[in-house]
Amino acid sequence: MDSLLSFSILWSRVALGLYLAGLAAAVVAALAGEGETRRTAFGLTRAAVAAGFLFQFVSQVEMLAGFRVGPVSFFRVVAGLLAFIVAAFFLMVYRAYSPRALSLVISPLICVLAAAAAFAPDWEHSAPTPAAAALLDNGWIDIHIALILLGYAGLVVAVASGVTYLAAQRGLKSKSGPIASARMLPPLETLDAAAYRALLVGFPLLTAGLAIGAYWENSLYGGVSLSDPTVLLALLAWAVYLVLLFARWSAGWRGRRSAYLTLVCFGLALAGWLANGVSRLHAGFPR
Amino acid sequence: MSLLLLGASHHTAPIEQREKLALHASALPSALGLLAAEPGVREGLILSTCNRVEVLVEAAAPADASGLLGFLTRVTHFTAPPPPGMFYELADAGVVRHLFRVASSLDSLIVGEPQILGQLKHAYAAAHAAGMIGAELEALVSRAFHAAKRVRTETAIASQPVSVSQAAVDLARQIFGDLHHKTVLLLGAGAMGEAAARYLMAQGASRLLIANRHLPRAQALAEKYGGEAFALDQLRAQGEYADVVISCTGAPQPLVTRADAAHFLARRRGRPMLFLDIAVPRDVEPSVHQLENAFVYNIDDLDKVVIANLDGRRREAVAGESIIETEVALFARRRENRDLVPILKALQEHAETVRAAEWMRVRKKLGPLTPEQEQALEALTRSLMQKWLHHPMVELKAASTPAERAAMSELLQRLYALDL
Repeated sequence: MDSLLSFSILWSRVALGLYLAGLAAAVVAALAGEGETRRTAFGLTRAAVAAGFLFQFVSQVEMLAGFRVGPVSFFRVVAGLLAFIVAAFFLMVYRAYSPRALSLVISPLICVLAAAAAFAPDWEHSAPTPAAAALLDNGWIDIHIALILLGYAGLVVAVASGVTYLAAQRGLKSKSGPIASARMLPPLETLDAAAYRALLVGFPLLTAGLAIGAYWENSLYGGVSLSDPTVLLALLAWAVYLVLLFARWSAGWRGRRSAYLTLVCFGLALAGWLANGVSRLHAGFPR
Repeated sequence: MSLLLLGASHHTAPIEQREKLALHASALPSALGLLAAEPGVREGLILSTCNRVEVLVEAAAPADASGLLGFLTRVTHFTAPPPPGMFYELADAGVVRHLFRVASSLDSLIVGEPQILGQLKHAYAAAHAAGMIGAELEALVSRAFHAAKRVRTETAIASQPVSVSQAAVDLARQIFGDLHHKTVLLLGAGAMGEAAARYLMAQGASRLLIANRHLPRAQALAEKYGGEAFALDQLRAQGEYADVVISCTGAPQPLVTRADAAHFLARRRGRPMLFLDIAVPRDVEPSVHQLENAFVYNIDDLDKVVIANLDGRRREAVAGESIIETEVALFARRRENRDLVPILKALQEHAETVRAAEWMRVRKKLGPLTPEQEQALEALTRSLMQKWLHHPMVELKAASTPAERAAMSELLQRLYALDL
């Protein structure tokens, strides 16, 4: 199993190298004027991200297989999964719209996530506590993790769309070369719709994941502690998520406001995830 | 072979002269028929657009431009003598370069405009139908199309809009993407606004609303374009349905205030609105642009977009010119190689005659052979011949100047007594 994890880490580093090459090509493309050089460089970005995506996929499969028994950190697994999801989003959006400037927004995000997956320190593996072992055995924890990650994935897609929306809207509002800057991005309505759909899909998944987590926290610790930073931040993120959808549905909040609120929601979710390090909630689980 | 082109374009002739020269598409067949009757002319093509009229011929001997001028005076309303510098006259390599530049829109009034390629294709089709396209012009025009394709795909010469209408559509696409199911509201009935609205509808917008102070005028336009008309005083009630508002009234005060726009946006639940205000004085209060999901572009904003894009096209044209030079050189090399066909063919035929004769002579002395042995030996003679011919043929093709090629051809003729 150790060799499986070693290979997983190797492939994740190969993926990181390819993502970095894609980022470099995106920077070259951004610096080059319109023309063949620019097109070639953006083509290289897409090819490099596509190749990195495949290596990331292999790495994640091996990492998930080894997650339960090996000394791999949960952080590494999640970072890798998020890098994989964002790369998939990038490739899908690129195919549909050729949003070249999106390369400059999304490539660095993929690189950061892939770097975390490739180089995150692994804790010494210790045996799960009896309560954690019981959870690991009955499989609910897998569903909890899967739902939370899919909910996060929806949020990540919404954030990527939202950030791109803000860049495109800024170009159109400033009027300083709107054709040059905004024309490389997808249309505002398309970005807004993509973000909304991602949120609509992500919200019920995140809600179900949190509900399962709350149920098992209650089983393990006899209640849900709001003083735990992970619990508190996760609930706050969920509440903002709910407000975001409700504001859109009831008051027609869309575009810039929606993008900013999505960023707040994402920030809270990210903070909740990072707070796992000091939370008692996942103590006794491999992290 | 000799190529000659006589033409006048926006670079050399004012509109009054170009009008007299213009040939309608329906007049092209008869004009091409007359061109075919010109002395020495074997192939020909006439390109007539609003910005240029050009006659291109391929003649057995160097053709006379004065003959082509006479031809133009007979088939158009133009009367000689032309003002000095009105016509340009190009021959051979100059024709190739010019045609490649014209096809690539590098010689157009608006560099990068796409119409010229279609116009050249129509001219080619008309000449083809009239039997005026032979091997020479076929090769030339097809390479011109190829050069044009390279310039369009390898540079960004045509990627940015250069008219107010195009800029309007481009902005609408950046906000809404697909324009299907979008509603365009035209405020006023000015020609510029009408043109922009027509262009938006042609790009897929599904509904056109027209508001004008004089309702009959709005109704007439609505009937013309399949839209719906209403009076300007109903704007507050109808404005919310518009995704794109084009305004071009002569109203002294803004017709769309910030409060109006906020009202529209609230009713639209925040769905964006694009205001293209091409009226002077302006019809839309500038502060509307500060509202969330409202985008206001006035005539100066649109002009700036167009001017910036024209500058961009001019920069891209430099890369286009470089492609043209490469293509001209390539075309010249192909033509030169084609001139070598007779000598190369004669050389191969001579070698084959010698080989076949020697093989027959030797074959008689060899006695009985199996079919495989006979095939192998004959293949050997062919292979030796090909190898022996290969180097001289490559050297001949690689000769860098026409004079060098002529000298080498002459030498080969003398050495092998080739009969061309």
